[in-house]
Amino acid sequence: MRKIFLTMMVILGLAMSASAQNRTISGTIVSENGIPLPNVSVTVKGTTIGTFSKENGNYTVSVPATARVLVFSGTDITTQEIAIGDRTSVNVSLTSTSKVLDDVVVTGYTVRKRSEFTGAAAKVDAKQIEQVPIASFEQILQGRAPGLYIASGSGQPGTAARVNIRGVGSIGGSSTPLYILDGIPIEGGVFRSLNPNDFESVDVLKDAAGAGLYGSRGANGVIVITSKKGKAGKVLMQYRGQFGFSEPPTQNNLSLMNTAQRLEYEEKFLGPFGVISTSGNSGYPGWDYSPNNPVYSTLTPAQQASRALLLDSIRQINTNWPDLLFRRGNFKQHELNASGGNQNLTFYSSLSVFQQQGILDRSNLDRYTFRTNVDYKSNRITTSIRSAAGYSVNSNIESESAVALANPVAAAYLELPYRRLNNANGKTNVGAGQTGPNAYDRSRTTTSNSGQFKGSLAVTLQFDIWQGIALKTTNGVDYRNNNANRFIDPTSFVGGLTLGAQGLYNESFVENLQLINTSGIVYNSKFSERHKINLLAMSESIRNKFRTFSATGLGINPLQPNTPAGITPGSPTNNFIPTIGGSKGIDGLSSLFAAGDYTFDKRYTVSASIRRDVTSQAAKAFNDIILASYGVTWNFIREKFMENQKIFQEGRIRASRGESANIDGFASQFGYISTYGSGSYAGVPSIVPTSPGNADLRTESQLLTNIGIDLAMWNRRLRFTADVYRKESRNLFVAQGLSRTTGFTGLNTNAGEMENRGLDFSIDADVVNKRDFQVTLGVNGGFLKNEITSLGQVSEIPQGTSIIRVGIPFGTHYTVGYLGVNPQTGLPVYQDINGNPTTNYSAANNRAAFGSYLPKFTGGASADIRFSGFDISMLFSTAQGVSRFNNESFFYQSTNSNIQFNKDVRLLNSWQKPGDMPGQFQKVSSPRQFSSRDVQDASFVRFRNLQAGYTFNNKRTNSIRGFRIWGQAQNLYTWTKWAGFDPEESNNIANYEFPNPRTYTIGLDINF
Amino acid sequence: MKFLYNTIILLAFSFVMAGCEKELVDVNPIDQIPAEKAITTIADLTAAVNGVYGTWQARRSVYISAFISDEIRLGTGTEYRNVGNALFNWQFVSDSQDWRDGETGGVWTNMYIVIDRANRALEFMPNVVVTAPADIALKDQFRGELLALRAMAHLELLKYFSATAQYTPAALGVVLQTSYVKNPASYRPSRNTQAEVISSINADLATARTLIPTSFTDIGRITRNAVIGGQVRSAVHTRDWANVVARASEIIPLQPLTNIAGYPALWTTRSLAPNQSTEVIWKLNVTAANSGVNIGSLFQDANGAQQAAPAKKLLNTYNPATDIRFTTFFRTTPRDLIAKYGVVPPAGENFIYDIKMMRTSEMVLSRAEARAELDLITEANADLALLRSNRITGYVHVPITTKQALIDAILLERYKEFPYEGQRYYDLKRRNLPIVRDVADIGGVVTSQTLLPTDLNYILPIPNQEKLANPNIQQNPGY
Repeated sequence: MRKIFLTMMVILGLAMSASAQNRTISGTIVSENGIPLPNVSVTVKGTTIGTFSKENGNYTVSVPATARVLVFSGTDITTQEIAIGDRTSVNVSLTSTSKVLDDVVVTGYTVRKRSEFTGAAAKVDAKQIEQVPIASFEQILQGRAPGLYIASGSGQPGTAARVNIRGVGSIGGSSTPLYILDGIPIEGGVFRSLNPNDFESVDVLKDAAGAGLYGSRGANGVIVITSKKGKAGKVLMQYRGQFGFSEPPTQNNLSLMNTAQRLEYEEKFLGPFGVISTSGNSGYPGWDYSPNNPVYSTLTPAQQASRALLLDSIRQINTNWPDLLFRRGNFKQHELNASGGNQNLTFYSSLSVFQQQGILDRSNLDRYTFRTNVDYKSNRITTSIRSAAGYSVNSNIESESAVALANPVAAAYLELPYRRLNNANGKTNVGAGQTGPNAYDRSRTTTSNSGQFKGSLAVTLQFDIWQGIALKTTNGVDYRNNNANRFIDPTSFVGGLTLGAQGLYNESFVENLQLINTSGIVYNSKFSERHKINLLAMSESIRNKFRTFSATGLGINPLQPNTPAGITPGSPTNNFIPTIGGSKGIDGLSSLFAAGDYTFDKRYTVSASIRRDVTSQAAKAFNDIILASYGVTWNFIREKFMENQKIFQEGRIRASRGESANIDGFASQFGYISTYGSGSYAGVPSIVPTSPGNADLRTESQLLTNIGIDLAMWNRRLRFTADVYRKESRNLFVAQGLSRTTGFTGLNTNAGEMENRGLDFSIDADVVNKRDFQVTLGVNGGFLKNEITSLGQVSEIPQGTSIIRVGIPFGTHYTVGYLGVNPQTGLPVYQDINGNPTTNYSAANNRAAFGSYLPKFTGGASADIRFSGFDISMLFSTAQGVSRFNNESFFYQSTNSNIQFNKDVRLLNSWQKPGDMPGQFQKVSSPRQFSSRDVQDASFVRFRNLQAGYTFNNKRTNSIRGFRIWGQAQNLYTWTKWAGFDPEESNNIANYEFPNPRTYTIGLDINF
Repeated sequence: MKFLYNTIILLAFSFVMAGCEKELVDVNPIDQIPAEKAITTIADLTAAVNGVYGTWQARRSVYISAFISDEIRLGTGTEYRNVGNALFNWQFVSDSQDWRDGETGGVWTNMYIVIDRANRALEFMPNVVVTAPADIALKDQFRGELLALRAMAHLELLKYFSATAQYTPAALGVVLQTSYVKNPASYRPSRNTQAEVISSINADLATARTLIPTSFTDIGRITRNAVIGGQVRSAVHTRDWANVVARASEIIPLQPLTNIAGYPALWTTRSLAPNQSTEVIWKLNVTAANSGVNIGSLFQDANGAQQAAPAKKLLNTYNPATDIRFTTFFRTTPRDLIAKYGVVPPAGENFIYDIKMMRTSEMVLSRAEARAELDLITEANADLALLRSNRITGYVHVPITTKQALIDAILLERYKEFPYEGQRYYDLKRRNLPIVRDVADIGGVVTSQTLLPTDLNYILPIPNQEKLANPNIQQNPGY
C-alpha cells in the first residue's frame, strides 16, 4: 500500500500546468427566480482556467482563444455548460439541484448524473441533515429517504439506531448497510464522534446498479456520505450555535397507580384474593392496616387506632418516581467553519462542540470534532484529502434497556408511589427491595463513561493520462478507539454488592482499524454528443483489525475513588481478584472489479459491473466469489414521441439486476475452523472447545432486481419517483440447532433463504413557487413484504417470543393467543394451537399469528415553506403495520407475582365476582402469562421535526454577510396505540429502553 | 515516451496489488486455537482435563432439585424476587422460563458438553507422546479422571431424564456418548436403554478405579475415593444393595465423617483445602476466577432479595437447639433464609462457595438404606446413629425396628442432610415417592402441594431444544 502511495506522490510531482489567455468574457449569473448567485465557479471546459461570480452575480474571466465552452458550477446548483461561440457576454440562469431530478448519484466509486444512472438511489442533502440535535447522524435520515428504515432504540445521546435498507436481508447475520464516507468504508453503528454538519449529502444505494459495485459488501445496501468541499473564492466563515433542552416524552396510553389507587388495590384486591398474607405485617399497608383484614378484629382498640394513623400518614406520601429519576437535559452546540480557495486549491475546515444531556440522570454526551478537506487540481492531477477527527465522551445510565431494577427507566415506573426516597435521617433509603431509592442512589454512586476517538482519512489521487484515461487511487484509514471506565463507590449500597463488597473500578478499550486501498484505471469519454462512456477497472484491498481489552479491579480504597490507584491487589482469600480479558481479531478482503456504463444520445444507458472478492472469513473452498450486476435506463423524455407533449419535463424508466454478498454477516472471523479457547478451573488454566466449525461456511448472498420510474411535471414543480424491487437472499446464516449430545448447541450454516419485495416512492411538489414565497411538500414511503422461503433442514426456529418460520415474515411474534377473561371464573381464556378457546395455558399452543416487528410501511412527509426571509420546515415520520412485544405491560398487569411493583391503574377494574364483565383484567392472583395481549400495535406517526427561522442577508458591509436565527423542536408528538414511552424501537421487545426525548432548541448562524 | 511511462506505472500498480491477495486473505486465528493443534503436549492435556471440570455446572441440578421438590418455599413479600414459579408449580410453560431445558443450558445440555469435552480429550490423548515415567503415570491418571467424569455425567443424565422414575433396564435411558461427534450438523441420535447406559458407566468407573492412584488426593478433582463413591451411586441407582454396602464400606474408613465441631466449617469455608481431611470426597472448586457459578445466588441475590426461602416443612424436621445442621444451613432472622452457601445480611456476600458433589455422609446413609433393604436392621441402625451422632449434640439413638420405618427415617435423614445439594428430587424419584409439600409452603396454590409419580410433570421432559434439533430423540411419556 505504501508503494502505491509513493508512486502517486511522484506522479503528483510531475504535474504541471501552463496556458495562454487572450479573450475576456463577462456576464451575470442568477437563479431560476432571478436572484444573483455569488460564488459560482466559471471555468473553461477542459482547463482549470476560471473565476467565481461576485456577490452581485457578476463575473469576468479571461479565456484562451481555443476556449469553446464555459462550465458553470457551484454548491446546490446544477452544473451547466454553455457554448460561448464568439460572444463576450454570457448571462446564465441556473437551477438549484434540490429541485431537479437530474442531480448526481454518488456511489463512492463513481459520480453519475441521475439521468444516466440505472439504479435506485435516494439522496438526502445537507439542508436536511444540518443542525438536528441528534448526535448519531443516521437517525437524522429517518423519514427522509424511501426504503430506508431507521429505528432508534435509545434516547441515550450518541446511541446508533437500527438501519435497514429495504428490509432485513439476513436471518442470523448482520443486516447493517455498508457505510462509505468519501470513498472509504467506515464502521457501521459508530457515528457519535462524527459531525453531521460536515456532510454535504448522503446517497442511499438500494439496488444492484449502485450497491452491486461493492460486491460482497453490498448486500444490505450502501449509504454513501460525501463531506463538504471547499468553495473557491474568498474565505467564508460561519459560526453556528444552538442551545436548548430535552424533556422526557409522556407515556402513551398507560397510567400507573398513585398512592390512593395503590392502597385501594391492596385493600380490595391483593389482600382479599390471598396474594398477600393476612398477618398484618406483609409490608403492604393498604391491606395490613385495613379494617377488612381479618387480623384487624383481633387487635385492641389502641392498636386499631395506631394502624389507622399509620395508614393515614402513608396516604400522604405520593412520590413521583419518574420526576425523581428523569430530568430536563440541556443541549448546546457551537460550530465554526471556513471554506475558500482558488482555482487549484480549495479547503473546507470545521470545528465543533456538541454537548447533550440525556433525560435521565447522568446520561450525557460531549463531542468535539474537527474536519479539514482539501482539494487540489492541476492540469493532470486531482487530489482530494478528507480528514476528520472526533472525540466524544458519553456517560451512560445503569443497565440500559434491561429488565433490571438498576435501570432507572424500570425503577421509575415499578416503584410504589407510597415509598419515600429518603429515610428519617435524610439519607437515600437504600436497601434490599428499595427499587426507587436504589436506582436513584446508583446513578449517583457509580459512573459508566465511554470515551471515543474516531479518526478517518481518505486521500484520492487521480492522474489523467491520455484522452479520458486516468489512474485513480484512494487510500483510507478508519480508526476508532473506545476507552470506557466504570466505577462503583465502595462506600455506597451498590458498592457493597460487588465482589468483595468494596466497589470496583474498570477500564476497557476497543480499537478498530480499517485500511483500504482502491486503485485502478478509469476512463470517461464522450464521442460526439451522442456517445458517452465510463469505465473503471480497480483492485481493492481491505484489512480490518480489532482489539479489545478490559480490566476490573476490586477492593477500592474509599480515599482513592474513581481511579485505578484505589484498587486492592487480589489474593486467594480477600475476594479482590481482578478480572482481565480481551480479544484480537483480523480479517481481509481482496478484490478486483470492473464497471462501466454507456449512454447513447442521452436516451439509453446500459451499465454493468463484475467483481471478484476473496475473503479471509469463509472456508477456503468458498472464499473466492464472483458477483455481477447490470442495468438499463431509458430516458424516454428525449424520444421523438415526447417532443410535443407539455405535461412531462422528465421521464425515464430504469431496471437493474445483480448479485451481491453480505461479507459483514459472518458471526465470527474464523467460523469455518473447529477451535479451542482458554478458560480456567480452580485457578489453573484450561482449554475447552469453543466452536465445532463449519467447513462449508460461505458468504450470504442476494439477488436484487429493481425497476423504477422517474417523472417530473408541471414545469418540474411536481417530481415523482417509484421503484419496485425483489431481493432474494440466499445462503443466509441459520443457527442450526444441534443435538446437545454433540457438546454444542448450534452451528451457523448457510441454510436460509428469504425474499423481500416492495415498492418505494417519493413525491415532491413545489406548491407555491414565487420569488418571495415558496412552499414545497414531500412525501416518501416504502411498502415491504418479507418472507422466509427456506431454512434448510428445519422449517422453523423459535426464538423466545418470536419465531423464524418458512412462509412468514422475519421477526414474527410467537406466543399463545389471548381471548379475554371468562366472566364466570375471572380466569383468562387463551387460544389453543388451532385458535379455539381454552383455559389451559401451554407453550405448546404458541402460534405465529400476531404480526412482526418489521413494519409493512415506513415513510416520511415534509413541508418546507419560505416567505421572504422566513422559513418553516416540518418532518413527519411513520412506521405502520408493526407490532412489538411489550414486556413492560407484563410487570404492570401481573397479580400473582411482581406485586411489589406498581400496577396499571386499570387493574382496579379487575374481575371480582362471577358475572363481572370487567373488560380485560383477570382475577387477581390468577397467573398472568405472556400471551398475544402483550403483542401490541407499535405503528406510529411522529411529528419528528419542526424548524422555523429567519435569514438576513447583508449586502452592504463585508464584515457580516448575513445571519439566521431559528428554533426547532425535535420529536414533538407521537400518534400511536402503543402503551408505553416509545413505539419506535430497534428490536422486537420493549424492555424499559431509554425513551427518545423531545428536544427544543434555538440557534443562530452568522456568516462572515 | 510518456505513454510508455504511464503504462509502466500501470503495470506496477497491478503487480503490487496482485501480491497483496495472499497476504490479506491467508490469516490465522489469533484468539482461537485450531482444534488439531489444541492437544499435543502433556501440558495441553492437563489444560483440557481442567476444562472438563470447569465445564460442570452443578448449580443447575441444585436449582432444579430444590425448586421441584419440597426443599423451598416461594415468598410473596417485597423482599422476594419472583423467580422459579413455573418450576416450583410444576408447570411446563415454555423453554426459557426454567432451567429444565432453558437454552442457557439445563442439566441435559451441560452434561453432554462435559461428556463431549471428556471424549475429545480421551481421543486426542494418543497424540500426546510422553516418555518420562511421571508423565506416563499422569497420563493414566488423566484418562481415569476423564472416564470417571464421563460416567458421572451419564449417571446424572439418567437420574434426571430416564423415561421411568425408577431404574428399569429395558426402558429408555439417555443417549450414550462414548466418542466425540465428528459431524455435528448431521448427528441425530436416539436414546439408549437404561441398561446400556449403566453398563457403560460401570465399565468406565471400573477402569478409572485402576488408573487413578491413591496418592492423588485433590478433592477438587476426581480421586479414587470419588470413583468408588460413583460406584456406590450407580449401585444405589440400580438398587444393587449388596454392591452399595460393599463399595460404601470401602470408602467410609478412607474418609470418615466430619464431626459436629468441624461441620460448620465445611460450609463457611469458601474453598476447602484440596485434600481428603474432611468428609468431602468431591467438590467443584469455585473460585473468583469463575464467579459465574456463585451457587448461593440461586436463593438470594446480593441485594438481599430472596429467590426462595427454606421450606417450613424442612425447617420443622430439625431440633434447632441440638442439630448443627439447622444453624449451619439456615437463618431465621430477619426472616427464614437459606444460608448453606452464604447469606445476606451481612452485606457483601458474594455466594461463591465450593459445590459439594459427594460427601461421606451420603455413603453412610446409602449403606444404611442398602442394609435396611437387605434386612440388616441392626447394621442399618448403626449407620443412621453414626451419622446423627456426628450432627446432633447429645444424640442418643433409639433403634428403629421395622424395615419400612427405618427406610423412611433414612430418607428423612437424607432430606435433612442434603438440602440444596441436588439430591432430594432424585431421592424421591428413585423410590417412586410423591413430592408432598406443607400447606405453609405453597403460597395458596393448592395444585402445588402434591405431585404423584403418576402425574405428568413428575418426570422431566427431554428438552424441547433437543427435540427440535434432533427428530430421532424419543420424548418422555406425556409431553
